[in-house]
Amino acid sequence: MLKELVKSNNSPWTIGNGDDKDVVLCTRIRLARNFSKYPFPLKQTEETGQAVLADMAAFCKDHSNLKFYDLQNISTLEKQALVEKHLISPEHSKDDHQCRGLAVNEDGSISIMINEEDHLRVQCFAPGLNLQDLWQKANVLDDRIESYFDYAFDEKLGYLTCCPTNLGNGMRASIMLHLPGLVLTKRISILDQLGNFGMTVRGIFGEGSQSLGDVYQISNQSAIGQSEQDILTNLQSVAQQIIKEERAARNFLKEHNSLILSDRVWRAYGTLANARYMSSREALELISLVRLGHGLGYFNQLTLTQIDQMFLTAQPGYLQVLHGSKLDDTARDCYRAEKIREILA
Amino acid sequence: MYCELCKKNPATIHYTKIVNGHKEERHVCEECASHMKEPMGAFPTLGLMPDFSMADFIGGFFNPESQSQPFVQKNMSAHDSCPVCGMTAGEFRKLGRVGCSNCYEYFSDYMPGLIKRIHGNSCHTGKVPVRGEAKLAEKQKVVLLREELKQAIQEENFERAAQLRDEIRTLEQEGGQNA
Repeated sequence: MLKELVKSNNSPWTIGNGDDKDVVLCTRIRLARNFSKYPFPLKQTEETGQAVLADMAAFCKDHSNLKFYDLQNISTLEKQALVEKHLISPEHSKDDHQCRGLAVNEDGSISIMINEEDHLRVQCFAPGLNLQDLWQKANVLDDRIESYFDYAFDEKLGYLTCCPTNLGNGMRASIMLHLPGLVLTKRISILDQLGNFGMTVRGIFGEGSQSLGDVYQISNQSAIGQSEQDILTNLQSVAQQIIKEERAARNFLKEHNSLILSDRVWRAYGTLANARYMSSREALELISLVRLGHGLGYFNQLTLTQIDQMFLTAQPGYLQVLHGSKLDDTARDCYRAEKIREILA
Repeated sequence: MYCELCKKNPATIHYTKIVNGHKEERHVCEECASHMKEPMGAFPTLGLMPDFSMADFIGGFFNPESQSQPFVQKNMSAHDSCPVCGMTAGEFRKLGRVGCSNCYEYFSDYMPGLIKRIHGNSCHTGKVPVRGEAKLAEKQKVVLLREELKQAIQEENFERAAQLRDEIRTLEQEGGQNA
């Protein structure tokens, strides 16, 4: 099943529905949990590492919607694609000897990283802005797991995690936002203020702080001293504020710079639909413009699903998985252009 | 002089990196500099700054060489180690991470300041594991109610305050009976 999941162009963020989908690609809730009976992965022996994997494999046997995988048996390329689909972290794709495992459901809306920094990183995804339903889902799954295993928990500190910054409820809720309007109107710096509200911001595509494709992720910073519900309410209102600003920026551009904007959008579309050779960076920049144009009603036929599938197809790992083998740089850029043309055909 | 990375374009950015007293001169072109990391505004060389590391940042609080150690309340030698997982104080300083649940107990005198610094109000108020923890949930509820009570008094909403006071009293009495 994993092969199909990796290859599928359906990811929670490429389905094309959900609330505020013009701005929000997807929502994620992640819970950090550890079993009380084993040392954390940082201090794990082969034996205790395998024991955690075996426990979760047994849990998955009882829950047929979840499939268990030992990441040791997954190819480097497939792991890279899993990272690009946000199902595992870059850290979790490493070929080390940390007994890394993964439990996923069929559509990739649930992914449990096993023996990442903590024994479990339970992740749930949903398209669009959807914090409340998603929390319900994550909460129920968390209860199911806890009915099998004792969690490491302290009355004062909450769920015990390997890194002290995750103590407390161990929850990180994230929203992936597409913000070309704020970038083009040079107002993206408003995101710098989010630290004051206990939020962090980072780019989604590209490495480090660099943001390609104007996609940003905002998430809560701290997980202690606040209930899950407070964090979600806070995050929700911050997100709604950003969505409002983004839409205002887009409409401003449309009203006051209509010719320049429509020219850039249509040129981007033209290039994507016809290019024979395209780097990942160029593709992400152009797709972002087309997505902006879609939000402003420039396209009749083109769907958000198609556009977000292009975002995925632009990623090097996923692209090579589609191809079925590793490609050198030039061949990869050619194949990327070809696959993007196919989506727009 | 050509850029030492691409060896094609002329090197236009020259900088000196000093790490632990070791001096290293670099000469790169603007394009390579911009690829090294995101250039920041008009200062392309800022992109050469190393990534911020949370582990180093946390570990730094416990660095014995640092001038002030506001977070250390107990002196530990680098070799003192957690009896369960073997994590040493030295490793903890370096990694900013712990090895097992017992580490929080073992390094506890080492950490409350740190946790407060990272998290502000450092007491968990969220979800509680279901198994055998019903009492804890009640305790937490009292903590939350007390907060609300403080708020109500500040807002001079005495009717609500009285209500909350009664609620807290009932919960505490029940807790006492169950204990």
